[in-house]
Amino acid sequence: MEALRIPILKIGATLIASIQTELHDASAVQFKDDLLERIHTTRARGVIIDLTAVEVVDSFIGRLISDIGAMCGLMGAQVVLTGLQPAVAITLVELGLELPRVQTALNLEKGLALFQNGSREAGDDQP
Amino acid sequence: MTSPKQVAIRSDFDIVTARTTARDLAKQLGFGAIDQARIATAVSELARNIFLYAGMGTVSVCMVELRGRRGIEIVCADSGPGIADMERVMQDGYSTSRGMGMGLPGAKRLMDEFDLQSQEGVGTTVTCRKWRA
Amino acid sequence: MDRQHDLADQVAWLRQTVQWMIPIGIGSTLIYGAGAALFAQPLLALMAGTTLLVSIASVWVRWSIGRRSIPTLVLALVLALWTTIVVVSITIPATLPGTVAALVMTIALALPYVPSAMLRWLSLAGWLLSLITVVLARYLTIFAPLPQQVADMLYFFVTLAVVAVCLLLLWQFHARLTTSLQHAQTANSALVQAQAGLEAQVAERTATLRNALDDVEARAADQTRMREELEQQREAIRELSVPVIPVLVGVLVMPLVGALDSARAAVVAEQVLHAVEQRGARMVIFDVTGLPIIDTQVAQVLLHTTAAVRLLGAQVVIVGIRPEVAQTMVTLQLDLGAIATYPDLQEAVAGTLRATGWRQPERVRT
Repeated sequence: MEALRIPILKIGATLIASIQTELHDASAVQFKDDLLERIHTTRARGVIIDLTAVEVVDSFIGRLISDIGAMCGLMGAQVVLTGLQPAVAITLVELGLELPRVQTALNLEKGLALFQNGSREAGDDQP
Repeated sequence: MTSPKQVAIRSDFDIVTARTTARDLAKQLGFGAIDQARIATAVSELARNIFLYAGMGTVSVCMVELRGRRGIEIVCADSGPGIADMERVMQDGYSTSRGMGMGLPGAKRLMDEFDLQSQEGVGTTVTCRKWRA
Repeated sequence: MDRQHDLADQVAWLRQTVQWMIPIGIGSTLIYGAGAALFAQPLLALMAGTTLLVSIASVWVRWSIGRRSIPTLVLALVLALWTTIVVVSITIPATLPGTVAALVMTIALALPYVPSAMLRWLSLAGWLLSLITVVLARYLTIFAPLPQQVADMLYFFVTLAVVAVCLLLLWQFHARLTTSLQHAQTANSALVQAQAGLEAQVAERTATLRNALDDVEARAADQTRMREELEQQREAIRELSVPVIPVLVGVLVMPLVGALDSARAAVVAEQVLHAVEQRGARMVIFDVTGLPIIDTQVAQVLLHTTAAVRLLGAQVVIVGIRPEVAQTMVTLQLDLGAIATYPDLQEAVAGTLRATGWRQPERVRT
């Protein structure tokens, strides 16, 4: 079964990826590659990764997201995670993954607002 | 105890199948949304461990009952190389392969009961349970 | 019990039989003796002798009942009788038909008392004996024939005796049969009654058991229901004791009071995250004025919840750490990390607004 690729949309200088299906390891790695490639080609300054539909995030995915944050940062794009479910948030914290290098917003709207408000500079929110 | 549902772990797709099965059973048993996420994540961690270190194994999920309380029991078994140093592997941050090695201690934190049995060269079995409040 | 019954019955019958035979025997002896004396017939003396033998045998049997086995006693009697029969038949051929009949009678006499095997042998022996007796009686003449008068008298008495005994035996058989039948019937009806009684008992016992089982099931169901109710109530209490208060748009205050154990901590986290998600809050203020202590566990809870809240895009600020709590925390070397703390709500809100450049949404007055 071929892993479904996660679609990446572009709005202005921001890339938006909404993860809808269960993320298999292979799909996740594929997504990372696709995203970095897109940032490179579009010179995006911001990336929003929406996790509203994700119900389980384990340590592999968590670390991957953290890595994505770091990698995109190196390429000049700021990553914002949106739509994390409360259950997922608590589980990540209990696993020991607090994703300090990634910014977060409650939903897609607020995420976009972050960029529009000019707070695109890399910088941690309160960790 | 109901009959256990078994998922064979042979690829990373099976990791997702295993955690979905566990989550569904947890939902059936009446666990809350957050506990469902905990259980599913724990299964994901343990299943990935099987895949990474042993290549293949099985995850069994079933209901347990004790003194009127209901719970879920997860048994992850493989015939892999086994764990040489169990203490070390349960410390956060230890890993012999790529990754930060959060699988076992993480799963332990998420579940109520956790038991690790391993013999070098023979295999590993992890049994863990979570009880409904 | 039946065998003992049988034995007792047998003893009774045997006793009865010999009790008849004794007077008959003694009576016959006397008569023959008198006859022998009167008529000076040695034959009659011989008869008297044989009847005496039978009488003695009968007396002996009567006396030995209980001391020897019944078949033994009966056998002795039969042998005595046979001796008499043979002697009489040979010496007085005129009595032959009667004596042969008497032989059959002895077998009939022995019938109820001896086991089948012995009976078979007795019958065979008896038949042979009768044959021998007839032959000998026909061809062996020892004494001169009796005078007709005497012979008639003899005949008379012998026949009487034999008939009497035969009749007695017949009557005994009848009585035995009747008694046996009665016994069987009584036993049968007793069995039927007992069975009916047992069935009734079983039915009763089953009904009682079923009732008890129903009781137990009902109680178990009750208990389960009560436990569930208790659980619900506990859940309700937990939720009630962890309220979340929206103050400004996008700002939530959560007063934490009492003890913060792991169960409550879970509820706190859940409620906060839920509220943040629902109201789109960007700031959560934990008011810990009501927490008597902040130890390692509580600090852990606060840190965890903060991290989870941050993952939803909001931030956490803590307000209300009392002096003594502050001292304990430092002593325990507890670090709240980078969670900002403020002395009171106003400061908290003002400070956070400043720090994040948070813009008030809408409601712009021109």
